[in-house]
Amino acid sequence: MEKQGAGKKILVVDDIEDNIRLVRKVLGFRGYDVVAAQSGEDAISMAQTELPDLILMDVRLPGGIDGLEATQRIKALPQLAHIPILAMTASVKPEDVRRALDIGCSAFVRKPIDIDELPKQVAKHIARASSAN
Amino acid sequence: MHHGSWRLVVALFLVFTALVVAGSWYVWSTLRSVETDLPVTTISQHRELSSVIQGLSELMITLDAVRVSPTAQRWDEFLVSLDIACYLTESFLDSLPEIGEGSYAIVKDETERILSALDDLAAKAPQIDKTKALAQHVRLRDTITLLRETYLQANQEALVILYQQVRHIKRLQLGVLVVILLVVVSLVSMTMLILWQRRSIALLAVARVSAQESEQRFSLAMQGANDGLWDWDLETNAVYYSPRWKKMLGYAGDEIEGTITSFSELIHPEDIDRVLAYQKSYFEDSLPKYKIEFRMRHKNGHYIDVLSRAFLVRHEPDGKPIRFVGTHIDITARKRVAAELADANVRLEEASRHKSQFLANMSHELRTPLNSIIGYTKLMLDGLEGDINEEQRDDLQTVYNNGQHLLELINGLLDLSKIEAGKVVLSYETFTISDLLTEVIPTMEPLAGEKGLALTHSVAPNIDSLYADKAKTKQVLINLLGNAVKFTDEGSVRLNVAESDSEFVFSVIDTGIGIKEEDLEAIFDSFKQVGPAQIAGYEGTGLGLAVSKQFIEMQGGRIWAESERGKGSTLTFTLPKKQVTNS
Repeated sequence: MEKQGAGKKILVVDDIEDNIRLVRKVLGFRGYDVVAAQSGEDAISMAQTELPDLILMDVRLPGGIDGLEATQRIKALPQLAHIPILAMTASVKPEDVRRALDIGCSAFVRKPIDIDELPKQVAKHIARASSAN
Repeated sequence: MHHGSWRLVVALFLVFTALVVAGSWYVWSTLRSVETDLPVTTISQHRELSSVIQGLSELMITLDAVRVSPTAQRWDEFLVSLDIACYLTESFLDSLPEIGEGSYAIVKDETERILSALDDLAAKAPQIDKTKALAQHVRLRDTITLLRETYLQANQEALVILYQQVRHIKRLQLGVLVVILLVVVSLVSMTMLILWQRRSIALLAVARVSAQESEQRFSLAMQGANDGLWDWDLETNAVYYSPRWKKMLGYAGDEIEGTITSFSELIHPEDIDRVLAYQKSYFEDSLPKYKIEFRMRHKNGHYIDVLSRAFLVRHEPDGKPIRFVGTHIDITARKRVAAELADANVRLEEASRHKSQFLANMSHELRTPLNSIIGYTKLMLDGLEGDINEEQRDDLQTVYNNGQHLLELINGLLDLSKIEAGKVVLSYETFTISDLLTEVIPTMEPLAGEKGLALTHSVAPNIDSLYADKAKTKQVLINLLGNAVKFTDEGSVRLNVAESDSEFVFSVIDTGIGIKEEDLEAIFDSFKQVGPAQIAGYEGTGLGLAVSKQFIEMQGGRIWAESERGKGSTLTFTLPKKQVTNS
């Protein structure tokens, strides 16, 4: 297993502990530093303190701020606007996908996540973001 | 109408008969009035008589001449005129009828007497002494004068008679002419009248029969249709209401007066203005037909919904409305059912929307645990958490495959519910076959490779691009190829793309377990597929085939399966060749 993610920090936002652990394992094996938040509010504050290289954002989150709103708020912060955010959802409605891309998500990860695909997508978007800077 | 015609015929007949009788009487009386006892009654007699008078006048002139100067020459002249007078008198006498009486007889006797005297004179004249003759002359002259006067008298009378006769004849001719004319005219007009009468009787009979028939048909139709009828005579303002019309409103035969007021009074107060306005615009010809719904009060006090349809009969030359006829249908029940149906429809749509929403939410909820089941199993299978033995690998693979299968079922369920709710719309585009295959084949290669199957495809030459819903066609192809790979353990899976004049034909041919003949159709049936009795040996196809069938049929194509048990299956679908449209 190549350590493609060495030195890269990923923020995973999901309200379900099992999902966070899965992503942490899948990406952790590839050398990524994975931090997690379980609500929209936590995600916004952690994004500011941790300054991750990429955020995996579950669209549906409990409480006041869902994944889409959290994404919008993060994108509104100048120091965070460059961070690529991948939306994760179990929804199959095309309109949900479109909306996620409209508000600034870089891509869309369908749940249940394909653990072979996920690291490839993460690597691709980190590379794209760093080359843009 | 036909009674009047007969009376006319009879009257004309009587008038003509009277005229003919009068004419005949006139002719007869004219003929009678000509009968007379006068001696001279004909033109030829009159002519004879005139000649005699003239002859006698001549005789007197020559006689006077002899008496003044009895020369031989004057004597000869006298004898010649005597001969002529004899001849003429004889001739006149011959023209008179044998039997006669009155003046006629007198004339005849006198004439015979003078004739014998003249004959006598004529016989003796050549021998008599001229002086004696002079003595005789006075007597003879008196006789001739008397006779001449008698003749003149008779001739005058004869002239009067002849004049009358001529007049009578003219009147007679006129009378006969008039009679003949009257007879001809009456015959012609009687004939024409009779012919016309016959024709109108025949027409009337035909009209009556057809009127009866149409009335019968109408009344049958009315009974059959359970329609009420009203018929408004706009000239007398009388209205006929059929028994059914009254019954609809709960009234018996004579409980409703035949006036238009009894109609308008029963219309719901909220509807009456609308009905009157509608009728007005119909009368003014601004509506193509009269068809209106309104409420009418039933005898029991409640209101019924009525559908009224009518037409206006106009007087032909001036277009004045004369009759307004229409029908009533009680649509109370129909309206109630329609309202209930609309209500039920709203509830159904709501329920359907709830169901779709529920399914969408449910599929989300079902996917969430699958995220862990599939993800963690794959994690172990990939050996990321350390080595596993062969048995553990088989077990984990089983968990993983079933997790994937469950995911497919959830996806199929969602697709079907969307199709059922009519939420799936086709989006046509033009794309090349090679594009489509490039997107489909690689997704199949890993599994086929794992199982050691040959995955091949062939596209008939000339097929370049097609116009269809690319996403759905792709989903169907993935489904068919996925099933084929899944149920084939050794051999090959082949995709063929061919075409006919009107359609493209896609076939997926495998060398797998095959499908039982009785299941060839059932595998496309969503309800059977999700039922408890799953098709033996073919479980695990999910709802993919049912969804595929829907997607293909939506695009106007067909899908079917052929199979030989144990040797393989061929699943084929077609897509019609469509013209590119701008829509």
